[in-house]
Amino acid sequence: MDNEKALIEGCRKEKSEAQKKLYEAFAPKMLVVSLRYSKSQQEAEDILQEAFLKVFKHIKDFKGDSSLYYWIKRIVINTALNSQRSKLYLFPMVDVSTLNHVDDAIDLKGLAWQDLLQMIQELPAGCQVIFNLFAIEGYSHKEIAEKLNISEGTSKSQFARARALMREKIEKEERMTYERAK
Amino acid sequence: MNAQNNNSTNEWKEAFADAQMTPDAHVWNNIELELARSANGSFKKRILFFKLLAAASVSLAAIIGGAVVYNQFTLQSDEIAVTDSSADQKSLNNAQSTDQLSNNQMLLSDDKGHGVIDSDDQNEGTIHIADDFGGTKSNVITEVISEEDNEHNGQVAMVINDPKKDDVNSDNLVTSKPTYASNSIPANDPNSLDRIGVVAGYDMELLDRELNMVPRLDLGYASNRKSDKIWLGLNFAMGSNSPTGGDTQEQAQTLELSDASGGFQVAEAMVSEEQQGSVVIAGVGVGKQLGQRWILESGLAFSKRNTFVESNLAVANNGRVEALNSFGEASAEGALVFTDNYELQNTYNSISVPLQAGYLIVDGTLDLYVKTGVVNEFLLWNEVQDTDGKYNNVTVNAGSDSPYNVYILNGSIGSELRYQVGGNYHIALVPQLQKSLNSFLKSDENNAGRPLLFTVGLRFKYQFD
Repeated sequence: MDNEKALIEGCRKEKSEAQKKLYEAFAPKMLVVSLRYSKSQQEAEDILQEAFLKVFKHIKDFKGDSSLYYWIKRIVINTALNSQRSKLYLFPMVDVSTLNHVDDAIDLKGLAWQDLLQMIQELPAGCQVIFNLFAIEGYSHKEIAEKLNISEGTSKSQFARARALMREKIEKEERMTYERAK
Repeated sequence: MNAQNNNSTNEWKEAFADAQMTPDAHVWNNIELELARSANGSFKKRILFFKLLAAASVSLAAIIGGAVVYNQFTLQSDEIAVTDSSADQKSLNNAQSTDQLSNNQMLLSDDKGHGVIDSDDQNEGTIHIADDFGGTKSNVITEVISEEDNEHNGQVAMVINDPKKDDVNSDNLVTSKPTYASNSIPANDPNSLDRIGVVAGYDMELLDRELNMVPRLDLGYASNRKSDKIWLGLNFAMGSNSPTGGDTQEQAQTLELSDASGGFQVAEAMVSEEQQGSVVIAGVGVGKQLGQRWILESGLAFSKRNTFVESNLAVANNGRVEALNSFGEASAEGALVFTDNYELQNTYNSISVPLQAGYLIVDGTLDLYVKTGVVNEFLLWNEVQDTDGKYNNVTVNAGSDSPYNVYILNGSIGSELRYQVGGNYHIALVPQLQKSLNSFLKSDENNAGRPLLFTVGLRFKYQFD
């Protein structure tokens, strides 16, 4: 914790060494976050680069209300959303009233995060963003709707679509694993 | 449903809880470069203030100088003629003119202020004229002469006798056009608002307007300056140093370097051109008044010019890793190593002897000079240091074995706003542009790299009586 405070203080003073240490401490995890919101490694690294520049620019404003990890993660997610915003054409895809019947959970056991990441990256852009925000970051549909300036129904329908696609992919993966095991 | 969603969310969260992947090295390199550029940008913003101040001062000097030249040119055609008494002293008593002068308390002005004739005597009066020091001096007007003849075209002449002198045949006869008395100005007379009236203060409305336009254009002040005045001063200036006057251009070369294990490392080495830095100058000065408006100044100053360079090369020198500031230097060094991108600072230390001529264009509470000349600069040494302090500093002395020229000739142009704070002491603001006429680097045979300095100086002067 003291080490983190020293890093923050060093970054506030624009010390290159502290900036590099902070980057090295958080960049690997943040790269996975940005990969979840992008389609390729290159795109994710661009997001990561832009996000860390924002981190170093605004670290003077970091008050320590939340952990540094979540503060940086929020910047990475917002940067990713901004970069994706022009690509997002979100509209309701299914009848929202039917969504209450979609209650089937997905079993993720036995799947590596790299496989899940690949599946997420293969989702359509809109579904991908909303799936990340709802299923992994834990935002509510209302919060997502406000964040992306869409209706709550659109968020729900996009998520339902994403989950259905993910289910198909996971089942396909399980079948292939089962076939390989036979 | 919510519980199910929470479970689902937790499951996904857990799946990615420990997920991490090391980004490619170029991501950090790009971030580092952007941060360096950003830091340099904020530095540029800080020195922008000085640039703007210098530019504003030079512009002000140019505008006021132009106005002064224009005024002088205009005055030459309408100037009050000082006539030779032997030729023009004709003791004519013109009743009309005398009446005009005596019946109207008349404002007269010399270059410094104005006087009032307070006598109603027809031929004589006393004129009180403000002197340089806020007092008044009185002269007796012995005769007021008007000539209606063709020879002098209606000019009014006054003979003003200095009480200390009996000789009226000196330059005391002053003639001018008959517009002195305000109630005698014909409305349709094109000369009624001529420059004489303005300078003499008879048309107060126009005078005020002109004074507002160009404040303190009291041109006569300079005539009181003694040409043997000498002053000594302490000078301090700071500003920006643009090494090439242009933007940075990165230079990259692919180098193959041997490593400690005897293998080879091939990578792209990058050493940027020098980027804008700062300059600080401190010194002493001496100056002399050469004439009513001309001055000559010299002195001795010590200056520190900074520039910044980005590099990913360093010199391994007996276990020390030293900052490397140019490819020219790289070729001369035996043991180079690739490093992370870092920023290094060149600090050129030199002494200089300026020689400048100045011309007084505004003389008043604040004196304004325009100045130009040369600055002879002698480079002493350059200190190369990594701004983060990771690598060791290197000091490169000027001299025959140095990559740097010892003598650099600079041209300078600027202005000086001087204020007398009391007694013999003056304080002055001195914005200045200084351009090197030859390069700091011996290898730069075409003198492409000629730094440009923008400085704003503060000077404290003591003027000997």
